[in-house]
Amino acid sequence: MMLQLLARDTLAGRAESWNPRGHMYIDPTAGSLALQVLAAAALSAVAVFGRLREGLKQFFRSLLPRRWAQKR
Amino acid sequence: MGAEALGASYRDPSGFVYTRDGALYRQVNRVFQRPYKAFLDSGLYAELVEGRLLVPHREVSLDLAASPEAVAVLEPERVPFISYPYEWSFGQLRDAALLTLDLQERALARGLTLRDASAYNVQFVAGRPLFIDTLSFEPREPGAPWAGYRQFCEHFLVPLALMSRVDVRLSALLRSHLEGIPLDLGSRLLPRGTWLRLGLLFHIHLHAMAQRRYADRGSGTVERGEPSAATRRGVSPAAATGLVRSLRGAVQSLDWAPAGTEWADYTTDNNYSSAAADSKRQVVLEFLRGLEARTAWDLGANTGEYSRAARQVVPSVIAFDIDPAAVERNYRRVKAENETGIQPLLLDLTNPSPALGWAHRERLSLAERGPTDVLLALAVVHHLAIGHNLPLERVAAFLARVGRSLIIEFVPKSDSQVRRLLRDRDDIFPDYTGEGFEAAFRGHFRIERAVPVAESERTLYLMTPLAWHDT
Repeated sequence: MMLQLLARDTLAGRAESWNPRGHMYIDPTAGSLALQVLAAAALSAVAVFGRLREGLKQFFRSLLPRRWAQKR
Repeated sequence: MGAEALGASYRDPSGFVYTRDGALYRQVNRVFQRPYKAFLDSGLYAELVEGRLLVPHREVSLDLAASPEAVAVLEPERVPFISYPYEWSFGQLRDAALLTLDLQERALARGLTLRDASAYNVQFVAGRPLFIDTLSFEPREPGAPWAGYRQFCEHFLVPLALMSRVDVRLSALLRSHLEGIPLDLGSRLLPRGTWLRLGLLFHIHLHAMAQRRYADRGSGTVERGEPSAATRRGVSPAAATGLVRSLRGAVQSLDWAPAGTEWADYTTDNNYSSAAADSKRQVVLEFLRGLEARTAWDLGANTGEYSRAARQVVPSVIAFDIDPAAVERNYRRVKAENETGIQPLLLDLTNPSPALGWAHRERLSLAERGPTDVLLALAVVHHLAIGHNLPLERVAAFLARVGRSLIIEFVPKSDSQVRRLLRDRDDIFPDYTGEGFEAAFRGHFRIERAVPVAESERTLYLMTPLAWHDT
């Protein structure tokens, strides 16, 4: 359940889609746009990995008897 | 008199800058009405103006509009002297870059974004960079990448990296590349070691590769006019802010120590005794006090010693020098001491900034940005006449065009600085004498006063251009 909530929370932070037509009065160039999208995806992946790792740590800590958890 | 659009203000459909009856205005067009209102309503304009980061303006009557598309007419605070990125020192370009990034991050925090990232959106006023393009802000479309990213890299990051890692004189490339130094050129010129620096690797080298990779593709729009899957996945606000912070880190990691150039140590390594320097300063001040000048151009200012003396009397002094280290040191001192009336800039007087851009109208030449009330040409004329073989009469003709008064120092051949210039070459300058100097300048000036500098063989002159120069 906790993992499901974590996954949902992470996916909710994913960028909304956008339409490249229209607003840009200067030429941003396709390469520049693509690089930013790739960088954003990489940053999201790093953030997802970080949250998953933290979530798993919390989960396993919750399985430990209370006395052991306090010692840690 | 009708409205006349500025030569550089034509690219942006949201509005443009023009003059009318000598006043400067910015028109907001109907197509940009909602984004402009959103910008004002967000509170960002007030925040930036209060922080002296954005030029303030007041709204004036629509009767002053230049065309029927106007929904608002703004009168911005006037910038005293327009300068261009290719005239800035390393530190000035760096500070302009950091200002742009600061504005983008603040905009993102309020759901807005900069529509572009041109270095020409920044001017230097009272010693600090100031953003001048009020219509550059608009609401950010959710998921949209930053349109100004490539432009930022080409206008700021590439030139800074070249100046820092290769040679500071490469800022001159900004004069031949008004749209910014192309990423692929910057990538090719930078040393291999820059591939190991994460910021430069990503924002310049990989960026250049991505440009080549996607050169023949659009932003993913296929024949049916629909965005492709690759670009449909956008950029979150956190990622957009992360990009700005990454750029900031890359800019801040670039530095340049102002030393090792020809004139870097001139202020401490010259032939003036302290008495001669004091005498010169007093005479210059005496000349200036009689002029009631509002502006001064100090040609060959070096680190600004006499610019600062002039500043005691003249409110605005532009301190020009050919040496990047001298200009950088001058700028660092302006910042450190919070000086507001001195603007250091790069200038090669034998090759001053020309008119550039479309129809030679986008970027004004040096002469077109004058004339100034008073020119200071101290310890300069021997470099022009002997160092560059310029006839004195031609030097006089140019100086008479760009200044309403002239304070000039004649340095004779007996002076050690001139003997150094003649050390390894023939003396082909028979007219370079006191009499020859005065005769050449009398063709363009009236000599008001001539005062010898104590403990030296130099002479300071105060001159006024002859009436036919129409300054």
